Amino acid sequence: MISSAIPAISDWTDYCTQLSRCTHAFRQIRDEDIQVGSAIKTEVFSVDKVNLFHYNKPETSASETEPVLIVYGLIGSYKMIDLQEDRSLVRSLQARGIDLYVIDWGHPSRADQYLSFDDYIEDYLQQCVDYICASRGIEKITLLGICEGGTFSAMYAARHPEKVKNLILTITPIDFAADVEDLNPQHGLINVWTRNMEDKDVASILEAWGNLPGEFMSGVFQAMTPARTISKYALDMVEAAADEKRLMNFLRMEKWLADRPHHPGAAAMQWLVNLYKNNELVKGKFMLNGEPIDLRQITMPVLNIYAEGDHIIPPPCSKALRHFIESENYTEMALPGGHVGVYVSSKSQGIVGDGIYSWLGN
Amino acid sequence: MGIGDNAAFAKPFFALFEAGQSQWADLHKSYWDSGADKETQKEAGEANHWLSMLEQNSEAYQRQMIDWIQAASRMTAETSEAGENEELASAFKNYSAETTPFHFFYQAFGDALGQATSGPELADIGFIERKLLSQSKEWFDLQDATKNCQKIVSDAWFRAGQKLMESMASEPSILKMGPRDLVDRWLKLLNDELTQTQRSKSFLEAQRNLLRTATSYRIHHTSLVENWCEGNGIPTRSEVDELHQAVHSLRRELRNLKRQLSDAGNTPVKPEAKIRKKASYDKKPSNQKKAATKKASVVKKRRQKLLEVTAEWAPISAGSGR
Repeated sequence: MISSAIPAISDWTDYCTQLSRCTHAFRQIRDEDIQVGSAIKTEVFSVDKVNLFHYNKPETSASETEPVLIVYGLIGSYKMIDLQEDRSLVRSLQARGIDLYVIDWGHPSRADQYLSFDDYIEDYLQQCVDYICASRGIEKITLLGICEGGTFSAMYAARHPEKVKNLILTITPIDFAADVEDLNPQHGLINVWTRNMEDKDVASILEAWGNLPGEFMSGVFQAMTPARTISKYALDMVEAAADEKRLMNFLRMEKWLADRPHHPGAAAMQWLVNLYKNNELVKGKFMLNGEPIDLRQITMPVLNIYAEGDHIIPPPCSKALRHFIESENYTEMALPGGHVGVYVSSKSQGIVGDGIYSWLGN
Repeated sequence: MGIGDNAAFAKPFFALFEAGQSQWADLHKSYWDSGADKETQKEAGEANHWLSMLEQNSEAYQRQMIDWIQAASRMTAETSEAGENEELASAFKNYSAETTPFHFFYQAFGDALGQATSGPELADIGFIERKLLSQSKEWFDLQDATKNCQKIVSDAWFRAGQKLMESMASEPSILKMGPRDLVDRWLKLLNDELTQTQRSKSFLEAQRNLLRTATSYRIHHTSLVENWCEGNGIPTRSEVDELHQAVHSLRRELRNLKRQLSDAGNTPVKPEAKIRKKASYDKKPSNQKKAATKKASVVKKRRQKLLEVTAEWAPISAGSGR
């Protein structure tokens, strides 16, 4: 009895100590101390709410490559690629001499609810690519798409192969029905839940809110990892307070999570109904500006990076790309960890940076 | 048919009534007795008409309650003798369930609202009342859907708890691991159970229903607010949405025109420019060159027209920018 009580008392004492540290830390840390996306960059082009940034070349960087345009999705902020100094895809690639641009889609309001994939791909992305090509005196660039931004990039590459030198996709859904091949029951709940809705349900959500609210998507992500949602503040955060660096990492991630833009309604309809529900991209039925996307037009070199433990985009949904393109130079890179872990986990930092750099070099 | 007419219904009802009234009478008796004692002590030796009246009332009330209770007892005895005991349990259960406040508010009242709002609509009366009732109905539906979803999730929590108990019973050494490890084990079990549940047919149905009722409630609520806005000369959400849609269409058309302008300026004009340059050396252009000059003129006119349209829409584009 006594022997079993000792670890209990010890754990409880530890918890109380950590809680006390956490409380103390919260009194000291101000919101402005938590910085995300702080790599220095310059706004070089803008249209409507969309901004194109060029990351300034660091003094320590090696020889510069041709420009790479990072295309993030509309779900979440692009700042995830530069969460903190030592966990930053941007800095990791810059350190290897890769010249980077990134598109910030901004924070769409209800006024932007009619923006569709046509606008984002055929207009905004197109204009950004044109700007970079014109300003750098080149004809084609490398696209690095992330998640939904990867789907944008794949569609753009299929529509304008003459403008895309290389296509790098990370944690990108292509075959939205391939989640059934993933046997992990904790993976692909978004696919299941979306298929569970009728088209009119999605339309009702968008009628009610105009856009797909950022808070709605936050709720969806929380529901996908219920135990983590329940315990992250009571346990994870309190334990992180034992180490200041760890606590700051935790708080940076929280700051990024809190900054979740609304997804424009018309684009959300296409994302959920045409892609998630009807899987039109791989069927060659997804339309942009009235014309179907033909993935076979992707003939440039392709690097497809996916996360083995990705519960949001199950690996088979990403890996399916190889079956639908004509590129003879197709490479896959599997990374340990989950969806966001590709960019923020300490393990994957070097792997992603080295992988992209060496692939571009080859 | 009254409650007392149905024997199966009456017995549990009056049993409940009897117990309740009995307790109520006891409570009142002690209160009045206590009050009487105090008054007696305070006004010792003096005739107190008020106190006497209170005592009489109290006694009358208690007698009335006793009569009620005796009458109820007789009725329940009769139903018991009628041999309907087997039906009593289920009847009582149904009755109890249907008389809970939860049922009344979330189902019975909701059903009544549903009947009221699904009837034929009249053109000139009851418009706003109907909208309000409809909004109330949506709210009850939402509460009902929330309750159903919560029940499924609660069951999953319960199953996870059971699994934890079973693992603790089969593996007592878990208890020596310490609370933190035990919590980790609990969270793992809970996560597995909840994610499994979230794929189940019952959950998916409840989730879909919850989503539908939530959005429907929101849409009705907006509609109601818009009615108020219209009445007070305030722009409605729908009107603003229409405006945004118009601006979006105009922007898109403007960009398409700009693109066409750019294409018209680049693709055909480049060869035209070359042709014109050569033509300047020729005093008498050939038929081919004449045709090229004519084409360039058409392109120039088209460009001019597009420029006019673009200039007309430029303020719209600039005003709706970031």
